Amino acid sequence: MAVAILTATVAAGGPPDLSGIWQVLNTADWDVQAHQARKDAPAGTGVVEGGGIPYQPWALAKKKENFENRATADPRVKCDLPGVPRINYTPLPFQILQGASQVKILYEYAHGVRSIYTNGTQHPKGHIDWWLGDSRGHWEGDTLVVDVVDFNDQSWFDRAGDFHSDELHVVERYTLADADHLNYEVTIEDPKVFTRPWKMSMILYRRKEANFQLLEYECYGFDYEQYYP
Amino acid sequence: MRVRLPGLLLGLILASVPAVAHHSFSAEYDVDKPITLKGTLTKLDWVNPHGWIYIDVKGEGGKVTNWAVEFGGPNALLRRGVRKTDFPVGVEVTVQGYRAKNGTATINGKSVKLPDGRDFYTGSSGPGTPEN
Amino acid sequence: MDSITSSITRNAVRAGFIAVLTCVAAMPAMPQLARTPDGQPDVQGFWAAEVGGTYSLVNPRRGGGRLREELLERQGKKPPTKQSRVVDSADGQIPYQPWARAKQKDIEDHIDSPTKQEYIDPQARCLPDGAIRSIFWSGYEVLQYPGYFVFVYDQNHPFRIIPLDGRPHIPEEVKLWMSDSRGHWEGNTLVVDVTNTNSKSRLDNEGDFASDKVHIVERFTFTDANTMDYRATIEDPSVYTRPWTIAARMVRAHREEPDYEQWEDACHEGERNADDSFLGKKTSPQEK
Repeated sequence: MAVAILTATVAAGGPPDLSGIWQVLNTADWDVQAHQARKDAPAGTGVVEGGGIPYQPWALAKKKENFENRATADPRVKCDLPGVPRINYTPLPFQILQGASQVKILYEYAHGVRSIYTNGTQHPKGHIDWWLGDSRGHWEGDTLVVDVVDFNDQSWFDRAGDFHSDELHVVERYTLADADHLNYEVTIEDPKVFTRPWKMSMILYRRKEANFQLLEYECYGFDYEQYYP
Repeated sequence: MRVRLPGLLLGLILASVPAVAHHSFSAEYDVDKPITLKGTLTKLDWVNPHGWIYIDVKGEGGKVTNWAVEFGGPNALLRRGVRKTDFPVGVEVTVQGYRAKNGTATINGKSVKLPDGRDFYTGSSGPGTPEN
Repeated sequence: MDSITSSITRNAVRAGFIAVLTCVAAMPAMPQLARTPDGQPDVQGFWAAEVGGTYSLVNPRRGGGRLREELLERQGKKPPTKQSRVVDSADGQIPYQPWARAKQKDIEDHIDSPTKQEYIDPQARCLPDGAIRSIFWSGYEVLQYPGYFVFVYDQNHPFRIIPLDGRPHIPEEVKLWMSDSRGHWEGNTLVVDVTNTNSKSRLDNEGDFASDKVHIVERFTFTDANTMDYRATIEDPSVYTRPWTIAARMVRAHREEPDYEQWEDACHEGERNADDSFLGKKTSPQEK
């Protein structure tokens, strides 16, 4: 069963092609909320719409505890897969490869892979504990809307200790602002942790250097490389 | 030339692809040390590359030891529609497997039988895994 | 570098092997494969090695075979011989320089009782297996896009994004687990030039290896829509006495499961510390 490649452009009447290598230029990976510079993070005005993350009281206390322990407790320190949406805003590039029945996103960070099925299929029966969830996408006009569920509770949204439970539900919206910029909006919903859904938004920049390609960041291997000359 | 579809290996975890050896069975587990344990399920870790179930086993004098039982990656079970929640904590299970060489309370599991007769899985695949 | 005719005259007599060679050497009229919009033969979908497993290149076996062989030997029965994946020598062996053969043997001798970190297979730490080993270890998904041929492996998901536009390789100082690849089509054969390999992963569990100067040329010949003959020629004058070639057949996988999807298969996050598992105190008397 050959899978046809989607090459339709806006001119041809099909959805826009998001293929290419993209990367953020913000400080969300360190802290998605507004923050001043600190020893382990540059300053940022935050990517959370409306300012603050609406934690339930117990969860706010947990976030503070995470923050105190972040140097060792952030799962990124162990090179764990950082979950969605954080894998989109690490300081490393990723490549969107858009086909007819799925959009594959391949990440330089620890060879992360997301398969966003756009063929009308539903999420498998839940619950499954995955690092990057299960993604099902569809087009609303020129916007790719991706519904993501089936997360484990292990990843953080940033170095600052913002976290979620395994009931996390993420909805992403990717819209080309122009040929080289993607508007990326994310709605976060987790009734165990937050009092209401909340949103992040940011820009993804196309990497335009000639012959640009993904390299590797196999961070969990750095300590072992010495044993394999 | 006949093409032997890997699908004929159904019955092994990760059945629809060729050998998915993750690491050498014999480096970690001792095929000369089979063991059968009866205990209650305390925890399930459905992770790759291999999942774990943990069982409390009552020893002599009532001392309880928590044993870790390794099984193959959960994806084959997940694809069959089986979920972690299908196996309630507290259920009594009978586990057969091979002891770890490092002497800890760890087994490479060959079978996990539930009271209703269901067998939970078929064991970790790896180079040198005994096929049952 | 075409060793097909010399292999036949060298009389490496294994029935299945000759059949494969005959198929490739005879090169029947190229099957008409569907095309992608940018003109590549369309071979997208799921594939797997017909004989998988990465325990050994010279004596490959499906997972589980080695222990069963040991048990057979204990019963005085001879285990069946397997066809080496190394196809350009009469003995099916890798042409190591003596020091390299000794190193491989040393690793092989310590597979079941590793005594130091160097003996632990990088695969046990979930490190990427490299271009050649990956194709035998798990099934994989082939995806094609304008100007790219992409592999995403089912287990652990390393991937290879292979540009087809003739761009140069990256600088040699950048060494990668999954190498740097450049491809082009010759009829129904995808030819891939592979460099920038860090060679920190093994070629198999038995300790076969290359150095980071290795140069590999792969040929993926799609003999029909569901079958592919894989050949890889490996050149590394610092390790081997001459270049050598791996060959194997790949087939489409999951043909009876049209709804099959690649699902997440994270590895190191859920893996225990290999040092504890392999180097911890042992109760077995086989400690070396």
